[in-house]
Amino acid sequence: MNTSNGSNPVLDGIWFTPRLVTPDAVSSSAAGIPPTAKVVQVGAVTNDANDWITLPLLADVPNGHEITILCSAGTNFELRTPASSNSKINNVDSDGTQEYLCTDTEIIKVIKISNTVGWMAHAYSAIGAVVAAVIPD
Amino acid sequence: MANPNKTNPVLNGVWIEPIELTPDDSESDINVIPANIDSVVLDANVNGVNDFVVLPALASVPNGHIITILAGAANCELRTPASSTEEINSENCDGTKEYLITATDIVKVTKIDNTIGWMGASWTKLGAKRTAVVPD
Repeated sequence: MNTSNGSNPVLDGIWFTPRLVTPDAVSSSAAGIPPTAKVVQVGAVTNDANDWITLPLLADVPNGHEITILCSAGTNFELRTPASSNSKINNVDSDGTQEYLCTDTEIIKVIKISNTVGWMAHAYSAIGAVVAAVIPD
Repeated sequence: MANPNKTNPVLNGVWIEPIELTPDDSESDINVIPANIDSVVLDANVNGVNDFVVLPALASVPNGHIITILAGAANCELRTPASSTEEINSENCDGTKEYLITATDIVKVTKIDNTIGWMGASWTKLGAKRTAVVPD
């Protein structure tokens, strides 16, 4: 690394520690993705496939922030934005009434576009196929 | 940078320095991707399009670890370490099967976990997603 304490380090690579989150039927710290997490590993759902995990507040992360979610709950679950935030995923308000479906074993990438537009999410199957765009419902 | 020596630094940017590897028909230092490397540029094959490069052992990297591979001017192949029984796209790629790296493509491999193995996906240099590659 050329400039270990500068703002533009040159690195051979970076390891991100996966953050374990647990889908639940209520928003909680255990089900929330913190703003600092880059890789999320999903534990078994607390109740059923209607349980959810929650993205960080848009205002807490920079534009272009990307999160990789490994869908490893053993069943489907859902992805929401924080309650009452009116924040969107794929142009749909996902703060409670609608959610982004997370299909078991898939890999989801979520990218913040801006505080206004919200998040774009897209997914791959575990064997590398692009999954059709998911419309939260 | 808010806290340069802690685990959540805030950076203006990060440059990942790629390493150059050379696909070959046997596993050696020139074609094995080290565990701490994120970006790999492939040089010309030693022999031909059956030459390969090798991913790090699954246990040596965290879940969600992503490696970007920039293919060379000729096709080559991607394997997991010999005798590891580790998989790419749900196929054992430790020797009998390989993930095809098409010339000039960009390949991203993501570690899912130690049991499932790696997910590989490829794009052309024009940005088109390749049909999912089934190692064979």
